[in-house]
Amino acid sequence: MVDVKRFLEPTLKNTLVHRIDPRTKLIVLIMVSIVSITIDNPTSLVGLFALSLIGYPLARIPGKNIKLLVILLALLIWGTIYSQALFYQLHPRTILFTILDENAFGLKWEGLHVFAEGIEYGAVQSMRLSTTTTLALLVYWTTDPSAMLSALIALKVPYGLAFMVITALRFVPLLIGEAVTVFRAQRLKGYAPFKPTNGFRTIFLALVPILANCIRRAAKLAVSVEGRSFQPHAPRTSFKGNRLDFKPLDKLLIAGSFLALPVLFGKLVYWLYTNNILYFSELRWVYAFAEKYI
Amino acid sequence: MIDVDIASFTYPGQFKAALKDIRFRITPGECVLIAGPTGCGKSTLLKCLNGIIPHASEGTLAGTVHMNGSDTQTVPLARMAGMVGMVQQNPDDQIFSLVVEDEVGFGPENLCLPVAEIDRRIDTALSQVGMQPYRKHRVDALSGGQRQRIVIASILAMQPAVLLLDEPASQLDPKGAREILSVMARLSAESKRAMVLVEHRIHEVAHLANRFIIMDQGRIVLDADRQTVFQKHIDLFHHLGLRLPETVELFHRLDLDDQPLTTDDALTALRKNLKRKDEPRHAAPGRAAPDMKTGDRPPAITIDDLWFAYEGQNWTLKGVSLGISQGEIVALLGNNGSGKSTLLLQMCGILKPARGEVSIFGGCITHKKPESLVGDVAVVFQDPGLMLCCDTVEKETAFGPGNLNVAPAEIDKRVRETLTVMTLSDMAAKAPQSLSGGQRLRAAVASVLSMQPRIVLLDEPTSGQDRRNIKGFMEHLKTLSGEGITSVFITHDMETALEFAHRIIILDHGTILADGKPATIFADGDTIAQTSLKPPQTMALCAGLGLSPSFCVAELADRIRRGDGPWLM
Repeated sequence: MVDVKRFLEPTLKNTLVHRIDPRTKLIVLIMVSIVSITIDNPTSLVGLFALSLIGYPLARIPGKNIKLLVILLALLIWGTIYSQALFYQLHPRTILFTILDENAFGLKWEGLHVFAEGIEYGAVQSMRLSTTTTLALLVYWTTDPSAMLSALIALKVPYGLAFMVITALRFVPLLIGEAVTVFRAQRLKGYAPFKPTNGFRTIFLALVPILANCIRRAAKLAVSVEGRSFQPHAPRTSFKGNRLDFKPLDKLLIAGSFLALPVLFGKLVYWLYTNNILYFSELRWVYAFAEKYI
Repeated sequence: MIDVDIASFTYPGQFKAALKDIRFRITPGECVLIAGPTGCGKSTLLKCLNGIIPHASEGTLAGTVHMNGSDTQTVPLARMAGMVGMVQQNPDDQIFSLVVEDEVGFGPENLCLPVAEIDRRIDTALSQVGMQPYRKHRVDALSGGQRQRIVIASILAMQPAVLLLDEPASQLDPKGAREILSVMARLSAESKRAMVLVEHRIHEVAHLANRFIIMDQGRIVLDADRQTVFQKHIDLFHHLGLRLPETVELFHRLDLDDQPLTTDDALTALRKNLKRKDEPRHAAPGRAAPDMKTGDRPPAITIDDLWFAYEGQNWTLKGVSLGISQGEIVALLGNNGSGKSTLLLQMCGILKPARGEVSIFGGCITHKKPESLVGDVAVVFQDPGLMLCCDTVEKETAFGPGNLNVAPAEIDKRVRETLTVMTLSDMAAKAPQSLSGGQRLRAAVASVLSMQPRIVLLDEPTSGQDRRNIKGFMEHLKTLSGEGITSVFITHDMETALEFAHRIIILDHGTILADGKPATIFADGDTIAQTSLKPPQTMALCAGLGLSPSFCVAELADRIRRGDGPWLM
């Protein structure tokens, strides 16, 4: 049996990625997420996904974590493509093969088919999700939770929300362990949590104890932190030096992440053009670029 | 230093006040033990002392708490930190950083102290709890006891005038608990600051406290120094179901004036007060404490050469073999990592052996799904809250039988009976998650007993429970045992294991270190010495007096009065 909890703790190393200011990491994550949502071109999306992987060898992320990432991505890609291939609703759509025909079970219905466009659409969606997931996990695995809290507050995220996010992240390993116990308890009471027909009921039955425990624990952590004089917007010293410090690399990364803006602009004007809303002949090179790469 | 004058405190939505007429004063150097049955208001009082009430917890507070002359209602919580620090039960709920020095330095950083001073405070605080060598270590690589010591260090680094400890050892294994108790003893001896300690295990911390505040139903029913408490108020402890040091209890039962807190002191005092017989006869065996002839009963659980390892780790269980008969009550003891919980999960089929075999009622379950054992085997996990997923206690109790397709009329009958047995009938309509810790445990147990299992497995059911809850619960297991139902429970509570288990199994690094009757196990000093287990004081006294083992203080007192063994009153 795999001890999932062990894979979900942040790693502590002194690599280039670990040293990046947490604010920079968050800004890059947000920008890359925006770009991945904006882009429709599969090749560009694969390129963006490949870029998001670069940080892993640089951060010397352990093999066991990489294994977890691969499993997560495999499930995500397979799940997204599979569901879109079967349930793609837009037209035109081309049937690649049929699982159940229109007369199956003696009913007159649409049948169950795998659509070529659905596979392509699912692949695009899965690349978007994979890019964001990959980068988010890299940020999580390479950032100390207390530094992350300081970063969120510095980025003007409301304290309550910032603390909630960090508490959730801090407790991810514990939550996984608790979810395992909840499902075990349910199975030993004769309930089948993973039976397909129990889907929503399982979610509800699992959420009740997990959330109740989470709330109890968050309250205790808040007391522990505030009981040690932590105040969201008060100044504090750091005996290890300021962990929120924009170094040249941070500035470079933030500048790079703002490449998202031209991508957004290109997508916008291309959309205005293709929807016959606005056209500028001077921007033909932009339309051509957007059509080919965005 | 602390001046408490609370007329009442009431939680929102409640009519009954959680605290009433609480008035006391604590001075520097005092170590005050606050005790009382579950729900008596101990934790609420601690929250008032460190300002969580009213700053971070809603409710109506009538009265004041002054800390070093400052009214806690007017001083912001973050500024209270320099005056008062609080250690809670579970270290995992309090630790925020990943590295030891970051965690200990977190508070001083918030105080904006100079870097050199923060560095010095980290060193000093870690030294105070004996964790200086671990300064650069990852927190998650430490044991439970070490993590709790880091929590204490992180509070000490704030240099508070008052240290509040809310059952700091209740979630730890014997080794961790011993580490924490030793740190508390050291801090108590320093006498620089006031210490306020809330603890169910009064018998283990009584020697640290010089003053006792006993609470019941939100009121202080006794506030006195230790000597007075043990001289004049032992009946109050009995009345409230609180646990006394066994040595104090014994001397009270023997009408002796001394109140020794340690076994050595008790032995010295007993030798002084008792007369040695001229012709010492062979000590008669202890009265029939829980005992059963296991050979007479058919097997419930049989484990043969069981090996198991979690992926990528060393063997957790190494060739474990044992047999448990129907109706037996078995206690599994051992430190964290010894394989107790893993063994329990093997018994219910959740984990599968890498080698060897597990059989339930003679049938091998190695290749069976745990669902196939439902109805025969039930498990209560360490955190009962995780087992409660329904809207009401009644629905929770009906959940298991419902899944087993039991007829509705039969479910209703079982629910009624189980709730009555677990004294939950008047809470049937309440949400299980809104209950107190002890009530949640009873609800979790009710939810599995309604399935009428023939084997009940319990992971630390005594953790964080007061004596009254533990006793009521264990008595119920004894009743079930009479009906042929087998119980296997993990515990760190030696007295409970000794008093209620037919048999004790001690695990150590994945192997069975000892397996036998409680008296035999605790009489084997060599085996006990290999673990961090501390035999109950009664057993140590019997050994010291040359008596055969007794299972509880009452029995030992009777035997001494009767002149059993080499001593006469």
